[in-house]
Amino acid sequence: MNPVELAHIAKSFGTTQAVADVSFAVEQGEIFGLLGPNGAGKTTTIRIMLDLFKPDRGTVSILGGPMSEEKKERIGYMPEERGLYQDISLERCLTYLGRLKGLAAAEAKRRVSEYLAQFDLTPHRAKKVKELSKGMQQKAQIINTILHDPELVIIDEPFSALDPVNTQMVKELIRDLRARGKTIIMSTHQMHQVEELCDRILLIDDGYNVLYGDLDQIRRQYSGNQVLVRAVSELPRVPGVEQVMQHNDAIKWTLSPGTTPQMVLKALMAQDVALERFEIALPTVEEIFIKAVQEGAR
Amino acid sequence: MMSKLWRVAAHEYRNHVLNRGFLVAILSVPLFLGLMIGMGVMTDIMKQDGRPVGYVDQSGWLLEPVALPADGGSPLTRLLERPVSLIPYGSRQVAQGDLEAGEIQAYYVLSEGYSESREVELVYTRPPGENATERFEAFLQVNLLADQRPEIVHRAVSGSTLVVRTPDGSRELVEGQVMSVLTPILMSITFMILFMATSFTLLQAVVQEKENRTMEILATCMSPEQLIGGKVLAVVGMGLTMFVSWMALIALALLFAGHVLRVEWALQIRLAPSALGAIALVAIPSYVLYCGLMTALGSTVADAQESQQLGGLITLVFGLPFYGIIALVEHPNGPLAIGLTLFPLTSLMAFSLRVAFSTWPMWQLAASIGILTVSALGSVWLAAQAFRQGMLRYGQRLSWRELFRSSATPQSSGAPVVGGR
Repeated sequence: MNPVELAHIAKSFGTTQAVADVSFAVEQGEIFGLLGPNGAGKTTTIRIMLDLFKPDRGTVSILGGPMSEEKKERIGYMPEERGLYQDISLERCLTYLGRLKGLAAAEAKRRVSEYLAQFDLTPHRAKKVKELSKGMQQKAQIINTILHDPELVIIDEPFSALDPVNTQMVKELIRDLRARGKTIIMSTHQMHQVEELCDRILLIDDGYNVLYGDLDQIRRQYSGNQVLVRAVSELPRVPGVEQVMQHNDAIKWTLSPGTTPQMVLKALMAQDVALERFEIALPTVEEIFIKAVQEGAR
Repeated sequence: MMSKLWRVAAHEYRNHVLNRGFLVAILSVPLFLGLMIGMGVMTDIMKQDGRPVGYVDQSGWLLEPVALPADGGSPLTRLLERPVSLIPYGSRQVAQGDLEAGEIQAYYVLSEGYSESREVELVYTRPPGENATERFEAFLQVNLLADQRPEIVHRAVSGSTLVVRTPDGSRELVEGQVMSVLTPILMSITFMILFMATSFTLLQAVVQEKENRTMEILATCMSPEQLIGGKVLAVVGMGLTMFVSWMALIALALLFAGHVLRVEWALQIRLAPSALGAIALVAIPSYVLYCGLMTALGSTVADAQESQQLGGLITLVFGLPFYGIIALVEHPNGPLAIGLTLFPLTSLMAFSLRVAFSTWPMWQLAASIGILTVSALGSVWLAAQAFRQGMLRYGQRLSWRELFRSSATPQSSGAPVVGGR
């Protein structure tokens, strides 16, 4: 049984259809990317998953069945709309929220101290939350999400407001969670982070599934009309190449429809070109995202 | 799962009670009352005239007068009343001369036939202060009773005591013990202040969690019932702390006034236990009703400012019987009084005011408590529905129509929430 399974869920608010037909499953121990343009239905999908909204249609299974009060303690959630108690100290705020996730008082305090040290927030533990910078508050949110060692972590835009150093730290933290067998669902607009972290993705647009599956497979599925080539000498003209672009230390050729990378390679071999590099250029997630959304593939 | 409710309650209680604002709220009411009383006393002292009062004895009855005891009156009386000495004059002319010269504030003339007629004339240019007239009356009383036995003196000085008792004997009012009548009214005012002070806190706590976006995190930690239940418990605890603190401060003030300052009425306040019990039985569901309505309001409005404005309206309705206090006092068992007693929002105030002036039929008390209990449970249910529907509406208002429509089909429709789609 997968930790999360949604089948054909739909949700409307008045006349607005937020989610029309979304289905996906998240496997144990993977980082799952939930992607989509603004207004695609990502947040509503997450809120349905967490039982904050009841779907109009479809079924939701989370950690082996419907949501329960007990299961809430096994889930860590960082919403898009960030929020912490502003007028109390950081340490007290995190300890209280940890206790609401079922931690005993002493254990909550111990874990808060550990995480504050890990996130370089120990000197700010006694400050009121409202006195912290946006980046510090973001780190506090992340601590709150993982403090109770949840099995399933759902994070909406985990990297917003973080500087490069802290972004790297959070990325390592997410990888570490995966290494410890945790399941992570990440909703983000930062495609390069998706490319770097996610095992599988779901792209939603206008309330429907657009792309779903293993990230590498999807990239391969969208590849095929571009190759990266580098030769010892200048590259000759090859039939079927539509566009030539510099790409780092290589040349990226965009192939015309009907031309395959094998045909191009054969043509180069025929001309006895001394090649240093020849590979199929995989598209970036951003390119796939734009293409998929523009095509409106369903 | 109950433990989360208590954790919320403990957190909220600590937040509300352990701060300067709460201490100020506790001290503000006794301080305000003290200030009002103090200003009244100061005004009274400023109006007093400390100049002597003269008397002319034309009857010769006071040739060898008995002087007033030096320590007459309570310490408070000595503290608050400026002492006035009495000066005997041989003739009207001399006394009149001193009056016109401003040496004395007034003088009394005992007529020639005073022994029979007890006729006394008071001469003044401006009316003398109460301290002067009381001093002279006490002087006359001491001299009139000079040859009587102590027990007769005591009885005569005590005077009569009028006791008004209800036909069933359940209530009585002793002359001079005005505070026993005023106490239920003061209690109802205290309830109003308590309601306002604590329920606004509850209302703001819900709005604040919407404003600072903690709502979504809390909603994924526990059920709305646990969150709302914990908050209501915290407010009840806070209210009890405030009420007990006020009562303790007032009791201390009364004990001080009674034992140290020897203010008699401070120790004579009597309230029938049945009246107190009845007020408590009405007050508890009223408090829950008020909290439920405030929470529902907090969950439907967009921000704290709007919640305060609308919360003020609810408080106004709760205090409605005060505006009809004259009608309630004149006809404590009239249709208006009964109607306001049975209407849940005005029950507590109407009942407290009626308790001060009349008895009440048991059926009205039972009906009032029954209606209030149903209304209180309804308000908590409504609060939970409003919380469920309004918790993710950041900066948006949830209309009452939407609330009732959504309550019929939970979370199936409504306007889009904020925070993406």
